[in-house]
Amino acid sequence: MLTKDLVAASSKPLLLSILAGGESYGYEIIQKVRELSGGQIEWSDGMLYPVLHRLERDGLIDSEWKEADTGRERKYYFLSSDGRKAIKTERHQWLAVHNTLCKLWKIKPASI
Amino acid sequence: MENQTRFDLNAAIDNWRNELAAQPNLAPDDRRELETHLRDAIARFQQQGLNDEESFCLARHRVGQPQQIGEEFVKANTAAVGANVPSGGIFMNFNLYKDFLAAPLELRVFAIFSLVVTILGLALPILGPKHLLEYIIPFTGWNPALGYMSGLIMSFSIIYIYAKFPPLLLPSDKQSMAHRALHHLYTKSVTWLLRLGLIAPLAVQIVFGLLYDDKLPDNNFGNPYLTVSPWRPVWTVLIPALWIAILLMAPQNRRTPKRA
Repeated sequence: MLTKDLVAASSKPLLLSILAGGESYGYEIIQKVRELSGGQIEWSDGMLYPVLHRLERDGLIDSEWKEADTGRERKYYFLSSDGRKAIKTERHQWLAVHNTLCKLWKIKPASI
Repeated sequence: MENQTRFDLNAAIDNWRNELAAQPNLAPDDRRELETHLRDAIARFQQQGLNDEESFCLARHRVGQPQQIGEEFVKANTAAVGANVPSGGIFMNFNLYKDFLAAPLELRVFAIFSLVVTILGLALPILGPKHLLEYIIPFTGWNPALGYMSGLIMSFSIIYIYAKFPPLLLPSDKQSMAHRALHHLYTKSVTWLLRLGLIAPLAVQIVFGLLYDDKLPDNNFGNPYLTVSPWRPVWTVLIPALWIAILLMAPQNRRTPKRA
């Protein structure tokens, strides 16, 4: 399990990158993070929305209420053009940290 | 179904909704979103074979205590509001120096260039050596600093208006969808206005530079102010055009001038 600080710091790149794969809503996003991280990253459900709303306020994502197949309405989030740019910056920074650690620990670094 | 007679799922959700509604920090839109989340989680647990009561309890636990959720939303909102809290002084709630430092390099260089040109353009003809204008005007035209001065004034006005009338962020705990949409539009339009405010005066300067070059006479009728150097387009056309190109290519990593 990640520490609280790391969860907070990584939520932005994770959310943006998930939405880069297409629009999604809160519940689905949490499921996806849980699944992709093999349970290592566990977001508490109620805390996700403040983060999403903040990204929206910063103009990195947009949202829209839409009817799902089940007939229920859900609030869908999708990436804005600014968000798409922000991913590049995030990617650069996280890979820089990652690659430095890999070198220190003598693991093969991820390709960029 | 045995379980449903003992446990009324809809009543439980209603109760939960009321508890959530008691939180002053949650906007109706936030509550609606949280409820769709709770229902999604319940449906998922039901699919996994849990009964209504178990599904509800687990989902409720997952979403978190209403009070705790309310506090988290406050944290997120105060962080946003904090950016808009007035810092006092005549600049109201924007810090020119801080925003200047956070701007892209191209924009900063352009701001300094504009400022220098404007000050020189205004001060030198008055304070500088005699007949200075006679020497400058053949190369720069009548208004050497016009485009830059207008750009400075226009962008400053836009920033000032934006700071004076910030978007509908302040009552953030009571934001509705319409508020957010309006806020988004407002922020976007300010950004575009600013770009226009910087680039339009330069474009006007270029247009004038091109127009006047065609019309000016070959000789100066003995008037030094009518002399046109063949190098004049460097100042009136080439340099403004270069600035426009540079400003258009500058990274737009800041949505508005006031957010650091």
